[in-house]
This record gives sequence, C-alpha cells and structure tokens, in this order.
Amino acid sequence: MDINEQKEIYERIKNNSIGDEKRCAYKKIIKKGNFLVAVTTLIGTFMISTLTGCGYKNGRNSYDDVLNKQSEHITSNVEKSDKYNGFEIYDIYSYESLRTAELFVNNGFTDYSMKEMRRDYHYIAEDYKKLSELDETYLYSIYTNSTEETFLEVLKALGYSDLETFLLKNNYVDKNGDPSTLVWSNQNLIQMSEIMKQEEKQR
Amino acid sequence: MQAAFVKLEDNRECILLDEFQHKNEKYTLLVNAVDKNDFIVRKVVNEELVGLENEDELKEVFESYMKYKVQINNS
Repeated sequence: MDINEQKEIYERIKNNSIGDEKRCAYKKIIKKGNFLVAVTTLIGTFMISTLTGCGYKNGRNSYDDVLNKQSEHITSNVEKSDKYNGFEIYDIYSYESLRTAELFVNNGFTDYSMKEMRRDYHYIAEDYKKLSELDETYLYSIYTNSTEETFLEVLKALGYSDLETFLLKNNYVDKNGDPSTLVWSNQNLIQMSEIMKQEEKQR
Repeated sequence: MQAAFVKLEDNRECILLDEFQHKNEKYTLLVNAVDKNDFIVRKVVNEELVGLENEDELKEVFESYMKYKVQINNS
C-alpha cells in the first residue's frame, strides 16, 4: 500500500468518524459466517495504513515509539528481533488476539465485560475445562488481553496454580533462572509466527 | 463464527471489529462490509454510535487503542 492509498484511507476514517451529526443506533445484527481471516487482515491493514503512514507517527507518542518500546521490552533479556518468520510484531498480536477471541466465541464464551481495556470473562476454571480446544497455544494472548482474574481461572483449568508455576514448568526463565514473562513473550511470538507461516502455506 | 454487524445512519452495513474503552468511554472500530478500506471509529453513547468530537480525539483514541493492541502494559 503506497502513501497515497494510506492517506486516502485515513481521510475516509476522519470523514467517517468525526462529527455529532454522525449518529446511529448501536444495534448489533448477528450473522453467521467465516470472517476471521478477513478481520485479521482488516485490522492489520487498519493499523498499518492509518497509524504508520498517515502522519500519526509525528504525534507525541507515536505508534512507532510504542512498537519500539514493546520491542525493547520483549527482547531485553533475549535475542532482539523486529520480525518473526517475516511477520511484524503487531501483525502477530492482531492474529493471536483474533484467534483467541474466536476460540471463546466459538465455544459460547460470550459473557464478558471490559475492565481497563481488557476482557473480563464471567466464567470459572471449571467452565474453561469444558473448552475442548483450550491449550497453552493462545494462553499468552489471554494473559495480555484479559483481566488477571480471567487469566488465573484459565490457568487453573490448564492445571497451573499461578503464573510463576506455569513459567517455571515451561522453562520460561531468564539468565538467573527466575520466571520471566519476557522470555515467554518472545517464545510466544516465535510460536505464533510459525503457526501463521504454516497457515499461509496452506492457503 | 458469528459476526456482528451494525447499520450506520447512511445505511452502510459494517462489521464490528472491536470494542474498547478509553477514559471511561466506550468506542467501536467498524469496517464497511462492502468496502474493506472504509474504516469507522465511533463512540458509544446511550446505545448510540456517535461521531467523535474532533481529530485530536480521534488520534488520542487511536493511540490508546494501539497501546492496548500491542499490550504495552504487559509486564
């Protein structure tokens, strides 16, 4: 996508999104359909086109700054990488967030509220145990996108008493042997990028 | 998977991509179901989707949304 296309999209977002005269009922119409791939692509497009290419990065806290901070954060104890299997970090996060959301929705776990921009699911460990596809693949995404309470209930369903136990059992440890979410985060990016690569091959 | 759609005031049918909060306000990110380059951000007010006040608010909301998405608060 070139800079002119990006600018065009941004102008459309502005025109679509600003102004009191823009007003409609927030009434959701539920339709069945496999739209996950489309949504993943769309959010990726949205992020790239509107934020990196349309002047937003000139703001006080630019998207690039955020990514750089995140990249430093993730890789401070591990080998630094800007891309994983050719995928940008934010594409990977978008992908896994949507796959996780799909996992919940497909299994009827739709009862949640938002707490400080994280999903707080109203279920307990016993409920999550019934979620047959639940494994540790998307646990990192649950960790980052959900509230602590939700994460701990999912963790219990997977047989771990707490985060530290999970990190130690999976050898997500730093140089000193201490449990490290940074190491987990990096491993998660590698694992997700491999899944994405496999899916790309299958298309 | 079930997709949620919303019909805008000009009858454009949009896919609900995401809901998120910023400064105790709830926002939605939508995309036109027909034109995939047509993105829309709206604030949820009293069961209505309303336009944002100005471009500063739009940028602020973007920033907040992106921070959320890249999980900058993760530690």
